[in-house]
Amino acid sequence: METALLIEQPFQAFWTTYDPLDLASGSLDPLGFARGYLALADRFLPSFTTVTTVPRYVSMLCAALKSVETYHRLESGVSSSKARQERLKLLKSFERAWALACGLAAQDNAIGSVAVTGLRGIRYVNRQMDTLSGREKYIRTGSFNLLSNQVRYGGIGIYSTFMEECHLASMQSFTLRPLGEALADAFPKPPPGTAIHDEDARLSLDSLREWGSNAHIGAFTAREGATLAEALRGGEEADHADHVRWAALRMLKRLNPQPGYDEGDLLRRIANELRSGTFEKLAVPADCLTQIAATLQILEPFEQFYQGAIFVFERIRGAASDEIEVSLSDLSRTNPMQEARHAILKGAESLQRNLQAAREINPATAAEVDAVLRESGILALANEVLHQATDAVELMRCIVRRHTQVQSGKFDKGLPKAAWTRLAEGGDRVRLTAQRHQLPVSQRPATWKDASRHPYRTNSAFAFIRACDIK
Amino acid sequence: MAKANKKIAPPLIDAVRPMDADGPLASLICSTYGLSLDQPNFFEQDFLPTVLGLGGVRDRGYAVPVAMERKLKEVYSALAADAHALANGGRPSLQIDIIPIGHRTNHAKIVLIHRKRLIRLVIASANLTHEGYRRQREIAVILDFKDGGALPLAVLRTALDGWSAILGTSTSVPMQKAFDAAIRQAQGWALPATFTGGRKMEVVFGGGPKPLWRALVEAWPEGEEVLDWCVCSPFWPDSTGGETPFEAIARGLDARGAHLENARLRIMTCADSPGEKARPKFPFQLARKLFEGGFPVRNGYIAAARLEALREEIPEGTAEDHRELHAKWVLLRGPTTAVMLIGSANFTRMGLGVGARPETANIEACVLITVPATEADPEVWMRPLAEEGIVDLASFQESQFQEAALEEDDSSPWPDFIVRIEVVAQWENGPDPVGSVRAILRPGQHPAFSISPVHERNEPPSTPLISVAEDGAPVATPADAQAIRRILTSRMVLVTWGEPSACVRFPVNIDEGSKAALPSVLGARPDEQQLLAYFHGRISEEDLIELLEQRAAQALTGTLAPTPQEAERLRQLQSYLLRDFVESLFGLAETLRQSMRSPRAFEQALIGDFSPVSLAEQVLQAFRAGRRSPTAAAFQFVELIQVVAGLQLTPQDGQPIEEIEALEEVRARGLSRLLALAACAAERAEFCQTCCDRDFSRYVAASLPAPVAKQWTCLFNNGTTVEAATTGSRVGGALS
Repeated sequence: METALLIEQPFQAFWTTYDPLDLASGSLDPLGFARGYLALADRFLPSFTTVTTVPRYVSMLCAALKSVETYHRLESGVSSSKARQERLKLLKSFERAWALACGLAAQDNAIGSVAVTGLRGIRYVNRQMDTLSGREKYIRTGSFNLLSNQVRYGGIGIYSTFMEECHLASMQSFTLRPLGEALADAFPKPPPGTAIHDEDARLSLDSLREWGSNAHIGAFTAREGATLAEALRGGEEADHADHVRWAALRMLKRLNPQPGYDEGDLLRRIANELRSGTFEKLAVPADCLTQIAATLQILEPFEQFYQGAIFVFERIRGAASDEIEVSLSDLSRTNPMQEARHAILKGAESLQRNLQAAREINPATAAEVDAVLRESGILALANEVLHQATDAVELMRCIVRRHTQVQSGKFDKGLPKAAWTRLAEGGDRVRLTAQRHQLPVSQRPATWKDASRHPYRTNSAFAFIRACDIK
Repeated sequence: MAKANKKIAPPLIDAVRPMDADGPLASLICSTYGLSLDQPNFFEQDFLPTVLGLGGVRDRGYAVPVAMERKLKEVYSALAADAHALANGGRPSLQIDIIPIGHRTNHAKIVLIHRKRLIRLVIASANLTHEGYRRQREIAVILDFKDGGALPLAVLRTALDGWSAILGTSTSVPMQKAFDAAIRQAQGWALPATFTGGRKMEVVFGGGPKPLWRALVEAWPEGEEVLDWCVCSPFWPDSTGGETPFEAIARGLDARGAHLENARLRIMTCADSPGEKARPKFPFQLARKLFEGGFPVRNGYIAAARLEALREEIPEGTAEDHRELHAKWVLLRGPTTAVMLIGSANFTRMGLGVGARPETANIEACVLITVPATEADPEVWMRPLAEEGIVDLASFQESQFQEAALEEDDSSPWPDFIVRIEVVAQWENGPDPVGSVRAILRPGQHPAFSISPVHERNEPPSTPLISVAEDGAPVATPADAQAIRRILTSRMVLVTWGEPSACVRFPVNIDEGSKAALPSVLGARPDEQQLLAYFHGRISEEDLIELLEQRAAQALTGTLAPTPQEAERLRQLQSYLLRDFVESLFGLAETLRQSMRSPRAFEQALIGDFSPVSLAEQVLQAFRAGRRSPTAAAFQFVELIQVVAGLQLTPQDGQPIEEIEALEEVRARGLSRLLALAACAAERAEFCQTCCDRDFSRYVAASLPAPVAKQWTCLFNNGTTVEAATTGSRVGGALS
């Protein structure tokens, strides 16, 4: 809610606003499935993440790197880390200027919010826009904070891996590669005399506004799309990972689901089409198709196992939020818990079986994923629930123990993190270790199927498929 | 009806977030009652990273603790906290000066942020906790002082003088210096002499000779009728126990000729449940005592603030939650004037100082504001309310109330006769620290007590470092490396006193002089090669910190000791080190120049663990271990001294002269340390012989400024101590 100030001048008095942390509980990975998930996602859609959703960031960063190369030439005798720091300063200034230009473009009714949709640091940009009274003519990027840690959470941090893996730039030295040069050339240039790379330069707001009208997030051009598509293919440097990425993007395009699609369904459809040989028409290297097929073969039971396990854990956590202590025996008698138990057992069994089956499809992929699942203890958990959890209560204990084990492997200032739940003596009762681990009612899944699966980056992929017109 | 304000209230955490335009941070001083360092550690994982610009949890990441430590080294930071917040929860970073308040309840919630171009004072009802800053319904006032700003200097001066006075002997010397520096900074800015337009405001403190209720009453204009009296508080006095704040304020207003007969009293308190129909948590007996007795106000209501976050309050994509009321404010409004008291004070006897001895009341911090009546609309202040649960004061029943919770009060034992416990830690003579521990006592009597290092659960209790008899004089005692390490690791000591004996963990403070040299990573200091790589720019600070953390972890598992083969390789590497050393000098000078933005940053760069002094310590150790020839070691010392002595400390862009003087003072200390290290090497005859060599003397004379060269020569010729040579003189002055 936007709360007005109680007193505005010459000091501010106000009721504080509700400002909860928006970290979804699932993102904290209480059962340690994240490594397995990342191993699978990297073998299906390499280079993407769930937050690389704005293709224009890629061209903007290429243009920013070109500006860096123009205004900060690498010289012999200057240490690499010092040169990197200097170049980073220019790069940050460029991103800030661009963010402001997008914010200014959004103020144009003819453009609107499309100019800033997906902008990283939108709160900071909006706040800066609010402080402009209309009389200012100039701004310095040095006086504008974009995110409290721009390098980590802004475009530079989020798209660095993408830029590297798509052969667009070296983000260690901040230098462009040929594909990056081409993409930089396709991005609109700021009006002459606008030193957006220089955080101390006075930038004309009119110039930024003018640049923003073409350079904003929503004004991605066909020329940029064609160049970026080439980068997604890997260009002349294409290697195995590029072929896999390109194949996955084209498969997604072929299936082209409606907005609001279910990602699980989509991945299952791809697996079916791969089995039926439909995608052989795509003429991509066979080992890419088998890698994706093997990955999806493992992915489905992995997710079912995860959904069941996380549901059980959240169910225990939810019950322990309402009562001081929860009885596992009582909880195990509920229908959703019984269903979850079946899902877990089925998922664990299928995971073991499908890992074997995946070896027939692509032995290298299966072995790599198998190693990750083994190291992260997921296969051990599957084994435990199948062979030691003789009833629902024991299965719940397995999951609580797994959580404790996972938490103890995380460190906070050198000390092991505390588990959220604790098994009381006797093993039938569970308590929360702290009130802050309570699970709000609104976040409690009703059945195991309602527990969120991991996102396999297809949302990001579709943003690039559309923008680059990938066929 | 007041005109609706357009500006939107910022999230409270944004009030402490830095803007580049405000310049670098000079100091941060906070006060809180609760701290909850454990669940979750808001202060170190959210608040401090945000203030320091490292990115708090909102940015989906936690600041690396070591990065935060290094940032903290560049500023003075202090935290005054009620002792109960520290007794069980631990102690935050050693770089923060901790002021434990045990003799009174420290209930004040203040944040003072002194940046180069902005001094911000945040007075609020919110403790430095996750709940306070992100969840609960709190109230806050932000006072900004900057060049061309609208607040008079007197407001800042009164606030900081009042804060210092109310903390009394607990105010440490560096804390007072930080207050003085903030006022000095603001004195250089164009600020108005007074307020205009019928507005007034000042920061007032509870727990002093004038109670807060009296400050409120005295701010009310004599003879003006009170039409609205609004009170918001989560806690209330019980009906027994003498005069309540309601009665004290009514009596005071009456004495000023301010009639209350037509006033409407509106009370905002906590809700017993979510929803529109929530009952207010308020002591029924108190309501009966007031409104069925002789209280002059007969008209009004008691209402609960909505317990749940309203739909329009919840940012998109975030979870709903409860928002308990924790705000504390009082509003009086008449036909022409409105007076508000906003801040930490609950509407209780201890909060507002009602009673015979106001000096024993809680330490509270509030803002007392006077504005024209048109600028304070009670309807705007009193929301959101559970409308269907409102209780009319003209006709109420017990069933309409839920009994209020008791005011926060923690009576766990605390050695309130101890003001602070300080540790001096020195690292000059090797990898292991030595130092001393001392207790600073409050004036007056005290029981017998002892101070021991904290021991692990499975270990026998440690031998006390200090034992003081009843009313005995405090002592400072030397502590060996093991004790110092243990204290630095636990950040606390055990204090035992009284009969039957009580024992608590008491936070230690690091002596200001020891802070700069405190390693960024306990248990691992950078070696010479790493320092050279850092100054040469081959390795970034982040990477160096990561290496040190790895080394510290290896040290814990006992895998750090080099094998004989590695030791031999290291010995052979020495010949390459000198070339590296020479190449790194440019980077070293550049690092020092960049740190001159503030005396603390300069001190950290000059004396800290990634500094020329640290490098000189490594050289000394290498020389003592026979891994460095006397000539090479002497050459390195001279070159390091030359870099430091050669720095140009000229005023830059509005830099005050006091700051240049402070930089000079830091340089003098740095030079003194370098010369002292060279003096340690000079204890060996071969080093003295090298330095007395004629060619080497010529090189020294050509390299160092004459006064410094003279000090260097003194080390070998007549044994004059370095302290004597440098103390009391400004090296910069000598250089010129």
